Amino acid sequence: MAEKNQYNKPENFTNRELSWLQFNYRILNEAKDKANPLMERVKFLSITASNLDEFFMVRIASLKDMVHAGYTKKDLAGMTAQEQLDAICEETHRMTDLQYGTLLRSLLPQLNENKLHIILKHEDLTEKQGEFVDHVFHKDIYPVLTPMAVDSSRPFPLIRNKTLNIAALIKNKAGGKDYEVATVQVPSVLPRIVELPSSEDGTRQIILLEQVIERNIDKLFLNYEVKCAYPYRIMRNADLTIDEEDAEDLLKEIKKQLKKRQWGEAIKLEYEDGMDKALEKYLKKQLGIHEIDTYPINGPLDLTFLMKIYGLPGFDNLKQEPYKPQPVQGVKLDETFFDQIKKKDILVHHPYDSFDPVLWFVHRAAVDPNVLAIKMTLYRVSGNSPIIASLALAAENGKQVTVLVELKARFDEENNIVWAKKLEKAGCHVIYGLVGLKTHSKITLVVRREAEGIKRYVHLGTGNYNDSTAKLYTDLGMFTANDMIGEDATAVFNMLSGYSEPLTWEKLAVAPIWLKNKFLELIGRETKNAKEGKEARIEAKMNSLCDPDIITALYEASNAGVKIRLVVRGICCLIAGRRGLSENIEVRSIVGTFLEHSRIFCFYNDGHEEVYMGSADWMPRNLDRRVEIVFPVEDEDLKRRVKEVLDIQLADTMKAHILQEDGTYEKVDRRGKEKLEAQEYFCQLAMRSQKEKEELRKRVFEPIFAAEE
Amino acid sequence: MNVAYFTYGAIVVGSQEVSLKIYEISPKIGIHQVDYVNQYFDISKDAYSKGKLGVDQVEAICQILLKFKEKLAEYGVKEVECKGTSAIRSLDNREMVVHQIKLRTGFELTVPSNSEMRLLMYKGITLKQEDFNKIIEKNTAILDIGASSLQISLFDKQALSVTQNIRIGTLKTQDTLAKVEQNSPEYFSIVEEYIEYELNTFRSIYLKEKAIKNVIVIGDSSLNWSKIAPELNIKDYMTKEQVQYLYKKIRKTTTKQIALEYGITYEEARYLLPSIIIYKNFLDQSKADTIWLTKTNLCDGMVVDYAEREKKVLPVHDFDKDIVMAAKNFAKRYRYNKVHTVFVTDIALNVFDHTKKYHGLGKRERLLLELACLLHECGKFINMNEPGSNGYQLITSTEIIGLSHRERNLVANIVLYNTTDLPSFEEQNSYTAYDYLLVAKLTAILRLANVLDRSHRQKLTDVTVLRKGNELLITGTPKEDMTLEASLLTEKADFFEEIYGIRPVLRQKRGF
Repeated sequence: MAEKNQYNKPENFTNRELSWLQFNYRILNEAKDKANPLMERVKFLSITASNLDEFFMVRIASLKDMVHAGYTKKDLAGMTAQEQLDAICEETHRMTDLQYGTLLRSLLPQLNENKLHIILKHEDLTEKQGEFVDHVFHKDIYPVLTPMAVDSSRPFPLIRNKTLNIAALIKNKAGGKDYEVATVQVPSVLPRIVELPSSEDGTRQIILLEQVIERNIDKLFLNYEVKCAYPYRIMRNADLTIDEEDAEDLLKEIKKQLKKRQWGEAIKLEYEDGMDKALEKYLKKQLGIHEIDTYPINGPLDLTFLMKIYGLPGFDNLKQEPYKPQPVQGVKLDETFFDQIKKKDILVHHPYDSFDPVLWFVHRAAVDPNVLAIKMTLYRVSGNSPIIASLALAAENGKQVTVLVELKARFDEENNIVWAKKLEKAGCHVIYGLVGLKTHSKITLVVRREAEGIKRYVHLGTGNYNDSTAKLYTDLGMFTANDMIGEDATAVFNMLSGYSEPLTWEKLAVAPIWLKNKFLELIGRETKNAKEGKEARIEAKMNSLCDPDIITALYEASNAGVKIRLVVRGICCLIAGRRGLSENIEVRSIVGTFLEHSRIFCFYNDGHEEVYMGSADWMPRNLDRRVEIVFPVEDEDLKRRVKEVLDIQLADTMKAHILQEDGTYEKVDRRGKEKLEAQEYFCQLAMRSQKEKEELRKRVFEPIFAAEE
Repeated sequence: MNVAYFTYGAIVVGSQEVSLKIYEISPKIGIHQVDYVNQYFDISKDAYSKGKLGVDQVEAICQILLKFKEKLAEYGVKEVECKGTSAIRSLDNREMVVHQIKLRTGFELTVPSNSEMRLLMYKGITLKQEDFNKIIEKNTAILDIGASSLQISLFDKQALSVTQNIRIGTLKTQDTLAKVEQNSPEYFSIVEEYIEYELNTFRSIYLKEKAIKNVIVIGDSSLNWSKIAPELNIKDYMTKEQVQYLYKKIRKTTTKQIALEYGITYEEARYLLPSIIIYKNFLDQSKADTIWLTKTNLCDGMVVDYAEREKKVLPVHDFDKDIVMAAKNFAKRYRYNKVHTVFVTDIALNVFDHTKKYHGLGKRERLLLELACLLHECGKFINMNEPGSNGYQLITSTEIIGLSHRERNLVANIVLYNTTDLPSFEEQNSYTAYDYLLVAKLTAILRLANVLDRSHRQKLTDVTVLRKGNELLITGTPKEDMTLEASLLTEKADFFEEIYGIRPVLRQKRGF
């Protein structure tokens, strides 16, 4: 636990929610950055929208819960839940304005210039276009609509979380004095964008689904007069907290929660700016929403449709050239794969390196006659995962297959349950997580019978076993046949299977019990070395940094003279570069085409540098409430390469944002520095080594023979 | 694929946990532990207080064992042994429990006697402590702290010299003093007094002036000690100062507080109190300054035993020697005539080795014969007229390390029938036909060897044994007149012939 040391004061920490919002601003910056291809900017804007949605459903929702529960404990930065909500609310309104400003003033006009026109209002349709959409409405949309009128006998219906709806004021043509309210959900089963025939100059024309419905709204209420209609959208509390101690069957509990998620309290209402006042008032009252949680929007609601725009065929010239993951240099995906691992540890850096070695590893294990057992943790699996297929095949081939399927992976539960069932059917032992702990570690263990004895092969990674996200997330993985890691890996799975914890760990550091102390020890060692006048350095990369114990240890180290350079993608509660607190700490964040996801930790250790990688961030939830693994990289070649990954990121001058003392981020001052974009560098590196290999293959020496006389 | 190793699984159903260790055995690397799983399951309360395990508990044990089966399959293990410890041994419904387990899981649970188990524990140390022989060079005490009892064994000059079981196991002690725990704030002192008394008694009988130089503890792990005092950084051993520090720390707090404060289970916390008292007592009263903690458990002993038995590896230490040594010390306590005993033992073993074709017995039976020879006289310590039945009583009430109860009983009977008539098979009802015949075979040899030194003067020297036709020729050079021995031989020779079909004949070379 954190000792109450001199650094553990509220003013030394940034609130994590506000820090997260800073992260979303950085992505928004990418949407604004003219140096990025136009379609990429559209995509970044879409990401800020879906990120913000999740933030509302989870973080804001739990803050609201705290306020309701009368929870008054302050966070690290000394803010109560209500204070945080107030501060966040201000920021999210500002962020929303910035999102729509970017869309309307910058992106849409430029898309227009590039022959893609989005018609924002159905009133702007030409007569011909109008006929076209009316036809679409009749044929495809009308059959799936369920309009609902509200009156004394019909209460206001349940509006589902995150759905787009249209509210209308209607009056019975046959008489009646008052307007009634009606609402209809914009069906989520239909594509949000409707493409119209291109105009004569070849500009493609797009209109949004809700506009088509709005245009035809009178057809839904035939005997009524429709006064007005406006789109709106609500967000509900979706944080999934399960009381596991009481849950007899975790699986059932999660299924129950999934249904319940729609019933949460409304925490955000978005509606088209200029909505009829009476209608607006009515909605707010029905949803029981506070004024500050309402967002009148000047533009289309729910910007996640921009991802669909990005996905439109054509417009490749407006997108970054897609990168194709390269085969790993010097690694052959054949039946000698295990022997290659035995000879030397293998490092893979996704997405620059292809994910195939990981898939091959599991596949070989499934078909190799000498493999006895496969054990694996699965956290988020892709649809139609080849890994699932290999594991099922292994079980059918008579191998002992144990799979830990983590059901608590947020928003993925429904997906996971399906895979779990499929694996069980194939004969695998499926473990549905541990009570009270999320299993976040990424580890695969293969037990193989060889001539000299039992041999274990282990893959350890920083990212999930998901072949689709491996193309988008930067992650590192290592294959090893190190006996001590093998024994530790066995102990990890024994622990996950409900057996007692091992007495000691040889190589791996495992959360929840041991990992935090390990990090504190490693940081403490640098502090000690610095105090003794030795060189001391910490370089680390992670997704989030918000553990108070770690942060105070870093402050201590900084004050002892340890040079600390961190790459933190998202939340960072540490305050960087403050005199007397953290002047030796530099924090940067890289937001690029790929989502930075790898975790690397380097400690100088008086010249005997130690390099670790793993699944854990420096967050309380990772260190205290999850099963995480951090592993050492010991092979000198691998160590050098992992160090290079960090060094290049620390030298990035294009996509890096530097954390300022006030908690905001600014791009690197590029004056006098070479242009270096880390992600681009790694792409080039991977392609270059592949090219070199191909050239080597083509190269044939031509001997010169003596000329024939 | 040509595989140059064997895999072996050892399962132990203990008082508080069920564990499985999987090993690889190969001549090249010896014995190597591949995997270890264990599951906490406390049967000690019901086993010791009610003497019975209920259906639910047996079911739970079976569930764990079935889970172990999956683990064994992960390594393709075929050779598995499964043993129960003192809790299972003390059950009134033991046979039913064993049968249930066999039915449900297929595992054959065997329950070694305390003395067999202790030897297995020592065997286990050799697996973890590679320099075992070096450590036991000097006076070494091995403390095996169990739930019900403490076993203290002293090794000197690489062999076991004394072993004694004292009923001050961790649970036993605290159960005995349970009333005090609830009522007295002086609980710690009272436990200490209780334990000290037992240890002092042991010391005055067995140790006398001997100073202990090394203390090895089996069955304790550093884990809980390091949880209580992480600042000490305890790994494989504890120094005198560390023990003193822990002693003070535990003295100050109650078991409940320890459990709460340091995040260990209540049962584990209860273990710590008697342990630290025993450690401190041993260090205070000896020249040792370190307590060595070995993580060995019964599984380790089982694999060493298995590997030796199946001749998979060369033994590190001769444990049969320890058994013999323990028997010698036992005989010494009852003032045996050493020269006579050695003389008889030599001849008996000589005869045994030359009649292999006729008795068809092996190494283990030879050991039993040796033990019977060593102990054949101890009954005289009680009453010169009834050495047989008194010897029988003494042997059956003594723990001889490494022997099962059946084997101890065999030895006691050989000693008994050395001087009394062997009843017919129908007259007795405690033996199977095999064991009856075994007792008869070995008794015949003992009687023969014993009669050749009837006078206890070792008259015959340079003894050789040779079978020729239907005769077993025992040849030697007499130092004195052998008439007494020769005349008494006839009766013993009849008995021998009746069993083996060959007749012992004494041949005296010229001499006296």
